[in-house]
Amino acid sequence: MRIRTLIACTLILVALPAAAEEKGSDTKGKYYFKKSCKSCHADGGAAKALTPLSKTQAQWKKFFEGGKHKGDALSPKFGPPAQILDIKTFLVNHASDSPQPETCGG
Amino acid sequence: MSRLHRTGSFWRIIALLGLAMGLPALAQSVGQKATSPHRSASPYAKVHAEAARRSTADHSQFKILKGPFKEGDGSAVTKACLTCHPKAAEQVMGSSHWTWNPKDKHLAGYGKSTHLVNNFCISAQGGNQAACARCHAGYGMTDRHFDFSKSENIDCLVCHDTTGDYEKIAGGFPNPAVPLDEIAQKVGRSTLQNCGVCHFFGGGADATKHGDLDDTILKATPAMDVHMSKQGAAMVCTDCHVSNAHEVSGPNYVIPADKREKAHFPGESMSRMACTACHTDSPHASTVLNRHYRKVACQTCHIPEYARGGLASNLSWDWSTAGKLKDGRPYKEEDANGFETYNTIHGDMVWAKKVKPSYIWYNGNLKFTLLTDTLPTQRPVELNPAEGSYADSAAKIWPFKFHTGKQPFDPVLNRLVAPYTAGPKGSGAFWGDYNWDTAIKTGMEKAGLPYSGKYDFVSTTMLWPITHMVAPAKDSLSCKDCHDQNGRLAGVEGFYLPGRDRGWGIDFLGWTLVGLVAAATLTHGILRYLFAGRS
Repeated sequence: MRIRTLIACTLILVALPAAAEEKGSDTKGKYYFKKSCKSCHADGGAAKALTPLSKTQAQWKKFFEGGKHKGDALSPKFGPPAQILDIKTFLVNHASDSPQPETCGG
Repeated sequence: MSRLHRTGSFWRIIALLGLAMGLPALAQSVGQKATSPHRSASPYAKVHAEAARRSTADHSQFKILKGPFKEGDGSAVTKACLTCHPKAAEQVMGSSHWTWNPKDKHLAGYGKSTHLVNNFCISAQGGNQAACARCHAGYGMTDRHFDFSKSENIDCLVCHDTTGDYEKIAGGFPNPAVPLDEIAQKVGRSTLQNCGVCHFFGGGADATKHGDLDDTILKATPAMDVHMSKQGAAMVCTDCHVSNAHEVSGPNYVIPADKREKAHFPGESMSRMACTACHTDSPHASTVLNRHYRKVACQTCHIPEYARGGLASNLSWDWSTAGKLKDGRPYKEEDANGFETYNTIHGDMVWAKKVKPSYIWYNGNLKFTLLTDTLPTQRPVELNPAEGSYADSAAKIWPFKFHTGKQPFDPVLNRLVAPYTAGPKGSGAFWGDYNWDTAIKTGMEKAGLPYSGKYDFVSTTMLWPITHMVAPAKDSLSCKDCHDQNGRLAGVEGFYLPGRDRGWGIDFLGWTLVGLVAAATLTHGILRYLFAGRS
């Protein structure tokens, strides 16, 4: 019983941080999001304005797991894989249903 | 005291006669374009192009700026800059962008690094330095013990980046994603963007604090801002806020009330903040309009409304309602215009666009409040009342943004308090834990100030001088906007304003004159009729 409890607690402790946040850099992701995405996805831009609040955490995850933007692979078109992961981290961490929803400069 | 008794009847009569004599000239001149010091379109675009042409350095050719720099290592870039600009360090470290404490003898002690308090984010000193340092021209300010003597912590790039890609994070450090080498090789003179990255975002977000400064200025039409519009004069901030050895001339919260500066010797570097520096103190064709300059600031007529760029400015911030949760989570509410009326981290707020300023006598001195000051009994507490009156020869009627707030204070010590706001959950910060008790106690500890342990909320007001977003001459105020009983100056006291103020003496005299003229005209007409045809 003790072993089971210990395993359960360990699993929870390992799983919790992973569920709370992605593995890339939130801070860097904000910068790359502005550079790579908001150049088009902004008010008055070529595409619909987007902020982290535009989608839920699950929706952002689904988009990045698909790995494509209008049929093109996200990388290298929008940056190397590490930058794409940073962007995903920022968007998921600040999505509309996240603990810290953020607009990213409107 | 009623307006009737403000001045003697004699002066009212003089004023009436003066108005009567001046009216034809005024009528002729109103609508005329004010004289402009610059006749060609976008004159400053040419000035800036000339400055660039005269430059003798190409920073992209300097090996030391090619790096490579470690991610987020802004200090390495600073050291590289200082190899060629060694005196810049001392200059910057003497400036208020570095010290956060004004040099002006009247204002020393009233800056962000002191106990100055406002009714927006309240104070950096409550342990909020790391968050506020995104707008400090340095690296590493995380608490009140920041070392102001280390030159490698100067942030050159925030003011000299020309790419628009530079970005700071908590503590004032560069975002580690920023390509420091690319930016370092493209440094140049400060643009609207460099100044705006902080000054447009005062109060924590775009357009929040000042009312006449927000990032719509970057794409302003001439109707929104004749000076900074690319289709207007195409000026940048430093064309008026002239830099002298890295000390950028500025108001430090206080705008000298339209004083025209004069050089003490040929070539002296002077600010051009006063309108008169370029436009002179008599720019109108009409003498009557020019005479207004003695008692009315140019901005009063030429900035009919602020927040004209499309963004709303904050008019009221009530911290007392902050901290409410829905289903255990923070939340926001917006009105039909999309303005945020409530946010758990802020409380209730009021926002508005195209706001008519408040008009107040002002001689260039705003008396600010510190966290160490004992509060007066008057409510609401005026955090920065303006000095000046009609009798004060240095005072003029100025436009202000009037901001109201409700913020925490210590009812036992009768002082305002600095809560710790910007911090994560579990840190005691209000935005993490939503607990005023802990946030104020922690904040006052971090500020090194006494706190009784009890708090309440007090209503406060602030004044923010309006001086940007100057409208084209055709959109400036007309006579009736002020010279009317319900005009914009209805609440400005201490003087007789023709068209606004009335008194039985002047009314009696006026109507008597009207009656006499009518009677004379009638008599003349009757006599002409009766004696018509006679030679």
